[in-house]
Amino acid sequence: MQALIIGFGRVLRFFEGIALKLSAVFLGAMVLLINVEIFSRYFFNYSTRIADEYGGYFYAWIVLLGGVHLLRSDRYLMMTSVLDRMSPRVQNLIYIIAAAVGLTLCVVCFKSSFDLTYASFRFNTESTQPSGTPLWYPQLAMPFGYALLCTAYFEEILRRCAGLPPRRAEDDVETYGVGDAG
Amino acid sequence: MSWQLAFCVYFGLLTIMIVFGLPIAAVMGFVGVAGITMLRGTMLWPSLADVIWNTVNAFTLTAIPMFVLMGEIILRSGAARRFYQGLAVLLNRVPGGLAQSNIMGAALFSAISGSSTATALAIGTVALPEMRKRGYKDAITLGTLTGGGALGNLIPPSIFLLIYGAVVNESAIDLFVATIIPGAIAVAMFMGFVTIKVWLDPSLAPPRERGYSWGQVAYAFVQIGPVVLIMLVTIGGMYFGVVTPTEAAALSCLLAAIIAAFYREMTRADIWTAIINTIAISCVISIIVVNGQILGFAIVQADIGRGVARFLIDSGLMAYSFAFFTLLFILYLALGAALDGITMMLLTVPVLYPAFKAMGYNNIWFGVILVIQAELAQLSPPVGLNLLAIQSIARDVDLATISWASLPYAVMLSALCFILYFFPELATWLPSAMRN
Repeated sequence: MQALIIGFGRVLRFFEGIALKLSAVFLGAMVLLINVEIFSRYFFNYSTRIADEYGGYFYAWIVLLGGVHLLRSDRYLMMTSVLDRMSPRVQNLIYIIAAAVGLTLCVVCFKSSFDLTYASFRFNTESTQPSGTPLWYPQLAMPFGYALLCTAYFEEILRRCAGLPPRRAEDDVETYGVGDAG
Repeated sequence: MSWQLAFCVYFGLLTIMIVFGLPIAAVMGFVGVAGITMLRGTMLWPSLADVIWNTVNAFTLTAIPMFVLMGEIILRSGAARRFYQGLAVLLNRVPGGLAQSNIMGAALFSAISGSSTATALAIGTVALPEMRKRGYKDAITLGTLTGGGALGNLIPPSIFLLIYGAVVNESAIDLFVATIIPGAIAVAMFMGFVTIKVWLDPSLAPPRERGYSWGQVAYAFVQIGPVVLIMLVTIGGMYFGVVTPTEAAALSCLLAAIIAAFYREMTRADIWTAIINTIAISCVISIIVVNGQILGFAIVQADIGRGVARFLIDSGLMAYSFAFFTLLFILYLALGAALDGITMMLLTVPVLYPAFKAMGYNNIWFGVILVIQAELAQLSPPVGLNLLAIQSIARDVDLATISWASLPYAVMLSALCFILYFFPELATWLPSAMRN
């Protein structure tokens, strides 16, 4: 069972890597696009007319794709002064509850964002901006991002229930050492 | 469900879950979803996607990753180190020497980074080892680093104000301009405090160093030049209406990349680390904002904001403007001890906004007050991020020592809040003058 969970984690890590690289590409594209807009507007009196709109789309993709890396690298803000005083067993239980809370939230958000994206696709809703971009392209970031987050939360619950060390164990053996199943 | 019951349920759930160490962002979103489900079943679930989409698709917020990326490039390219070294030469004759460089350096660096913790880390990483080597006591060094870092959001541009502007529908440029005078007052207070402290206890700083030649002074200007150039482009561009805040962020990113290419210090690994950190920091902030908006939606649905405003009006408290302001100040001080500034703002503004309007509070003025309170939160143990950032550099010093060294700066920021209460024009005059 533990080997299966670790294998699942490796698959997720692969997707996390892709999501991170895509986020990096969108970040670069956003910086480039907005600078092109500034220079073309001031030097050539020409506006791309898509910088504001696509800047927002890129930002949405960066945030929603980067979320899974944030979760898997345990970089969320939390108040640990009470948690630190608890026994490892209770701490583990709280981490499971936290993951269940996160999973519940992400499932609801996935459902809601999937419905919105599907509605945009079905009714061929277009952006009201000059580009007239079909909205489901950028909106796809939401169900995609939340699906990744749901999977990561699910892995966290499995890992904690199986008594495995934190997620980064396989990714960062130097820090966390080798897990029970290692 | 009455607003009082909804308020108790939301507040109770948030408190219990945050205190027990659940991630703050997830808790905010979960309580929001639980709240609307209790009120209307699953009827409002489809609206959640609109809330999320409108938040992550907001053009104003797109400036966040670019300001963070620019700070990361400046930090890793060697520009921050050179900037600090140059400033140390230029402020050599000022009593307090490098301690003053920390304040001035933080003020100028924050004018490009938009983040308190990034400012504290950027200046702290360079300053702490250098100051220890030259014989400065930690008692003066630590406070100037955490306190100086607290200027991060108070001096424009400010990520905190970008988010506040998006929440209350206020112009980010007006908010940025409104912080210029209060920010300058804070810098003057901090530098004055360092001068007096060193004057009273000269053992805190080494004797004044040798003088520098004109050539060294000229070189110091060259060293601080790139950061000052980015600052001028960022603030000047926005102030004169040449670029929007988001465009200013993109332009400063480009300038930072050109400077980094010129210095040739960044390796491929550094570039990738800068990008990963940018994505991670932007996600931390943005996911809190998204979930804060979900919670805000639930607060609006439960009519809590208007209920609280009505309650405050009926209780007669709002007739005592100063008492109300003092209560708000204490509330934010207490929240700041447990939460970071952005979370604190997102949790309270939807609840208290109608009350602020009923009190006749100006959005811009209150934004400046809130940003100061957020900076106080950065200095408040146990979760003050500036304290933790400096502790991550000064690992041999405990948090209590760092907190104690930061206390005078927290007191000065508190005083600034009350100065702004009595003289609101300090925040509101410049934006209105700019518009005219």
